[in-house]
Amino acid sequence: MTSNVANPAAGGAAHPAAAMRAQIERDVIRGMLRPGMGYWAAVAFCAVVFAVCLLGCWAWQIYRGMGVAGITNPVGWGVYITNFVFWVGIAHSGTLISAVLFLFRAKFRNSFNRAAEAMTVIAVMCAGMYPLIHLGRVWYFFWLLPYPNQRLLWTNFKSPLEWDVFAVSTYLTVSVVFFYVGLIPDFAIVRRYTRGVRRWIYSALSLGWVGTREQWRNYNMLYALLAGFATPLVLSVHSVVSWDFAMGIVPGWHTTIFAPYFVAGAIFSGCAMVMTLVIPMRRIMRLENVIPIDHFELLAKTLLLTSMIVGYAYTVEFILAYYSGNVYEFGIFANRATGHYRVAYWMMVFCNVIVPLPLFVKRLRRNLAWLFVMSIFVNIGMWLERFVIVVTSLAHDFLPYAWGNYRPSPIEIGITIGTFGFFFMMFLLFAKFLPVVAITEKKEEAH
Amino acid sequence: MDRRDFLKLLGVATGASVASGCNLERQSEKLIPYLVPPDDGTIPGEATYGPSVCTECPAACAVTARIREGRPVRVDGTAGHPVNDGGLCLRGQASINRLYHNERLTQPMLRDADGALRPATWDEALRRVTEAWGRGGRRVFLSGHTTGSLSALIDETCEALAIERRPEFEFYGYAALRRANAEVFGIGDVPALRLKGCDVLVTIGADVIETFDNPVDASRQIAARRASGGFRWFHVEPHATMTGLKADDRLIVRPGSEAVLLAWLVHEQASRRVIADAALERLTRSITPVSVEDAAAATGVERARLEDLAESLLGARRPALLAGGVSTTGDAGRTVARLAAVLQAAAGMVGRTLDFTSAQDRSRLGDLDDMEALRDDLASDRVAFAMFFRTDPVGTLDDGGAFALALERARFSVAVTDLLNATAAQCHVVLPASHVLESWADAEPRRGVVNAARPAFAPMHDTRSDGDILLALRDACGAPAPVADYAEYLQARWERVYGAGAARRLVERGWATVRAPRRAPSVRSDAPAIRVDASSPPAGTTLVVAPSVRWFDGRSRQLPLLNEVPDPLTTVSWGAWVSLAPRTARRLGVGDRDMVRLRVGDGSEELPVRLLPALSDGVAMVHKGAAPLALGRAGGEAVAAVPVRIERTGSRAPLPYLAGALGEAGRGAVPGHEPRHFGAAAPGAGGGEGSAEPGGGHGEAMRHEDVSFYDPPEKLYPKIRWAMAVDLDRCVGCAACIASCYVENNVPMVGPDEHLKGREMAWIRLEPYYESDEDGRLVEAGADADFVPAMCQHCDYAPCETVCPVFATMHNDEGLNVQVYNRCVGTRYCANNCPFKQRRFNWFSWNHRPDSQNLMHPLMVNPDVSLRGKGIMEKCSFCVQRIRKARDVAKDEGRPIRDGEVVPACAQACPADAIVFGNLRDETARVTQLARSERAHRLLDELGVGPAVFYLSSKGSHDDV
Repeated sequence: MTSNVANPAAGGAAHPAAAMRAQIERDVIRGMLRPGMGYWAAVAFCAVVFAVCLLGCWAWQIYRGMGVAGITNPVGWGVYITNFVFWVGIAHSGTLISAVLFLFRAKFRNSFNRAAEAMTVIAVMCAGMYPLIHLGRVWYFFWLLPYPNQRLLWTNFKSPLEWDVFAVSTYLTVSVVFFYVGLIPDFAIVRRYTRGVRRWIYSALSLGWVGTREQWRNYNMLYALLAGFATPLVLSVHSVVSWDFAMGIVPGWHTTIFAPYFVAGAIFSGCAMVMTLVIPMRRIMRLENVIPIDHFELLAKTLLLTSMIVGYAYTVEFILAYYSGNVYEFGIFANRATGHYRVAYWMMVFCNVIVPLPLFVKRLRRNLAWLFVMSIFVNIGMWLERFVIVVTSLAHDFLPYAWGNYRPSPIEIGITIGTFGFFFMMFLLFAKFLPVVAITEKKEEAH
Repeated sequence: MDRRDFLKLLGVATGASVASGCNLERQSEKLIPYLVPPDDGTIPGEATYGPSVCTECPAACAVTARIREGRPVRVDGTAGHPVNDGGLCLRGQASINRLYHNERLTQPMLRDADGALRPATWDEALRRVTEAWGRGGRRVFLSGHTTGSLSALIDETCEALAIERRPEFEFYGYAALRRANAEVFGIGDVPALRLKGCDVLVTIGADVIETFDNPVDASRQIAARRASGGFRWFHVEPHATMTGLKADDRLIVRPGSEAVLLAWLVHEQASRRVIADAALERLTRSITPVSVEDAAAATGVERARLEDLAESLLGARRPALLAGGVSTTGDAGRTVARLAAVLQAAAGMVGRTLDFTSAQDRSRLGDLDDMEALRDDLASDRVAFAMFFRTDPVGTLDDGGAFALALERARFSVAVTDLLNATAAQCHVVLPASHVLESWADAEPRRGVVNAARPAFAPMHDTRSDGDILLALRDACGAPAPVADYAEYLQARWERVYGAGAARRLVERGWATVRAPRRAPSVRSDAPAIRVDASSPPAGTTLVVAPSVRWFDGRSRQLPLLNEVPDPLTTVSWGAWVSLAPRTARRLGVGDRDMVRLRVGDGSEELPVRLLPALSDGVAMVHKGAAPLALGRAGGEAVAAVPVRIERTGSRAPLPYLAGALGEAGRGAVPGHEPRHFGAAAPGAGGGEGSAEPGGGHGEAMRHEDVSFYDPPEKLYPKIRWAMAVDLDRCVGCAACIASCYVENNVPMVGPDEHLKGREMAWIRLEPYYESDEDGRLVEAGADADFVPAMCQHCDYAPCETVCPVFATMHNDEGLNVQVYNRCVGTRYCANNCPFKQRRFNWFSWNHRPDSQNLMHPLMVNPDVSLRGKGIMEKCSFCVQRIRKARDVAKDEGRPIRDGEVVPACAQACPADAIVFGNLRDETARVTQLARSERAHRLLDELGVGPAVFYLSSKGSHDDV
């Protein structure tokens, strides 16, 4: 780290490492040049999808009532909570790749961490929308916050939903701070490449970074500290989200394996989403030199491991249900595999357990096209996993009279698509306005 | 202006505005102010009660209207009444929905030159009637079944105006029974049941709990007999009714074979006891001999079960036997009715358990032959003036189309009705009738009992009461009655007919008894011989058209509430359907919601299928009013069972039904049934000695008390713990509790589209669970069923409460699981976490939907219960408003709440007294005694949530365990 220099151009062309560092810097900064029509068209498209599908549908839902969604008795949670868990899961890998792999000194994280952190922040925003969207009376959302009031109303800290409020908001705060701290030295680099207002903005964002020894020392300390602080969140946030279900009495939800199972699933889906985003980004922004294939291979290995953990969890759930001799418990799982939602269930198993298996072959782990296609499957599979957990358990619980099935309505589908519009809009803006790869980290690596 | 002027002006201005604010007349148009009550005696917030009569079916039960702020909010059976004693059926409870029906006729209608009905004034309408009447020619008057003063006034009116009064029209008019009883006993009546002391009851086709005679009376008596023990009830039927499923023994016979069974029973009776009466002896001998083999072959019932029936019935000390319903229709049905009369006489039931003295006066009632005569008269162009008074032959008759064609030929027709029906839509003048709650009226539910109705409030619309319409008719036609209005007429008649002082008694109490002439019929010596065709009925599928507990003969189908409350057997809510046994459906290759074509004779009708495992294979069932199928007529009654060909159409229909499954699926969903165990944890596999105890099994091994972090309920709710006991042995499955709950708690009616999505809002429901075999598979035909009335269980450790992030649902210190509407943000976690799935979410602001979707009239609101807006969770509150009221009264009187003082709406409606509510901390309370009984079970007890609803069932553990 001490080799980091304030002015890469002065590094001397004769030194091969210096030349490489300059190349990395140019490669990354190139992506931030004045965008073309294609870029703006893509941003505009995503923005329209976000506005029409998400804001439009949501406004209609608030105006008419929750009934415009497909949720019903007994399935009170549907696609909204599925999306919530899905996006929290996506958000997970950011912290994992940035913080955990940083602490483990896993160098390959440097290729992805910036994109993954950005993904985390955006995905937490997406996730955070859903608890609001699914509220029957969203205009009273602030009642979920424990604020002092004259009526002496308080919140119920026994409720897992209340834990969620804190888990998600904590996670959002920490990810934003972590993301921002990591960006500070890069802002200083970008500052040098810009003029006018942009230069002023990047200067302000860089907080007067000049790269002195003292600054680096403090920076590294803070970054390590934040990484240490964020690491437990990897476990806690998704554990808390899993307790939304595991604390319930509903068979299919009420199990002790949910926390580790959800954490593994989150890392799994997060890795897949990173691939989905970084593989095209690498190509479009011509970052082949910055993000080597080796690093994708390592990411693929993580994905394969978590896929097997998830597959193990699927199996264990069944065996536990069978071994319990409990008719409600086993009824849920038998119904998942053979009932109304069996297609979703078996699609989930195929996408999450079967599709990643070929990654045992080294050639496929290094084949970006394969990885990209597989990552799409895993994204779909992990969405289905949440759908299966949320919906099938509610649809088929204790009393047969109350059983009933749920089908997403156009409004729910619209809002779901709208979140993707929001997500990609934000990611495109990130890709243009911020350095998509941690320049300083990569340069250090090139040393 | 100096200071004094300013103060003067201020005083004048304040005084003036206060004075204008006190203008009572202006205010009473808007709201009733709480500080200055109106002059008419209304006390804001206090209910008054007024007597009335239920007019939803001809049984005419006595009801008491609860009146709040000058308008009726609900009706309940009149406590202490000799016929319905506080009970009221599903239709009766829902009848307030007729008063507040969005489509009620609000003023008279006249037919234009172009044939369309247009609104008119009473003067215009009556002028048209006068003109038509004045033109002379044949005049006919047809009404539905009437009793008491209205019937007398109709007589007088028809006589004064020279109008022919035709025999009254009721589709279910007991024609076959009345004819048979006339033939055998010389009395054309339907005897009333007197089950006191009765030890064996046999009902053949008569759905005594649903529609036959007076279902409330029968339900009440049966429940009472059952509770005191030593009572066995057999029901014989070809189709499936709640009556059959609630009987102790249900004998499913082949359609049309009841006569053979009865003939055998009569011969058995004759062989056991010498018949002293010569006429009876002769009549018995005239019956075709039938052996038990014949009976078993014809009915398809095992011989042992038939012999059991005969043994019980003929060995009984005080037996009762009733035939009716679908079993007494068709050619065989006449024989059934006559054989039943013979057996009733031979077994000594007449005058003991079957009472002709207090039978309802049906002497004016006609039959379908009379209706055919009327149709012919109308078609012959001779009728100049036809009046249809509260009757709808076009919409009710199987061949209503033919009647409609004939009606077109009448030169003038006038209909009196509250909702536009098929007959009224064809008439020249439609006169809007007031609801009985807006009218003076009386009725005689039985001979010797008279019920009175006084108006609960002024008519909502420009309508008149039945009696006043008749009086207006007399005025208009130049033969005015010597009374000012119907109220005066009633006063005078009551004094005259029921004795001095009767009027006051009737108005105050709502009913009076008078001595009815004793009628103890004996068998006529000229009764014709009875021939029985003992051959087995032809094979093939039979269609049974039965009256519905919700729609009766179709007349109540217009009430949204009676569509919102599902059919108890199939749980279908909105729409028409045909029920098939799963085995029949499988053979046809159809399932729920598949459209089939029913071919009966020349006609055909397409209906969606709903599986009903209680039906036997080869029997299809349709409710009267569901489809206009012409089935033919025999003995003055419509044939109820006809051969049918059922064809698949390949299409499907959106038919809403509310049950997620037909069977229990091993869940122990019926209190007293244990959940099924399998695999390693099956009882016995691991030393399950606890499973022999009641409520045992693996639930016992994990008793909640042993592992809980929470305080025991005795500590949590030390003084009062509200609880409910539901006696499943008493419950007759009539579903009155559901309608009662809807009306009391302003439960939203949401309509068919929402029902299809599973969004019904009922706070109490009747869950049917059909029988499964040893392997847990549903029995596919002729299945027995259990019915569980289920509501919020108000658990000690309610799972809904811990998951609510804002404490919108919580326990109060009386053990109630309360829902704070204002605090609810709508996460719906509570509903997800309720193991009984009793919580209902307001998906929309139901009462603020566009008019076409809003099924609830804005005035049909109980002001004691707040309306819920969108995004809020709701559920059964144990009628917390009634608890509050009782507590207020008790506090005013400085005493604790007495046992039985709080009666939730469901318990109040129950004709069988199956629901008991009270305080578990009160050692002497009825509910405490019941909760401690050996029969007490709690739903899903092994979850340890501690429900406060105790189900009493003597069935004990299920065979599955």
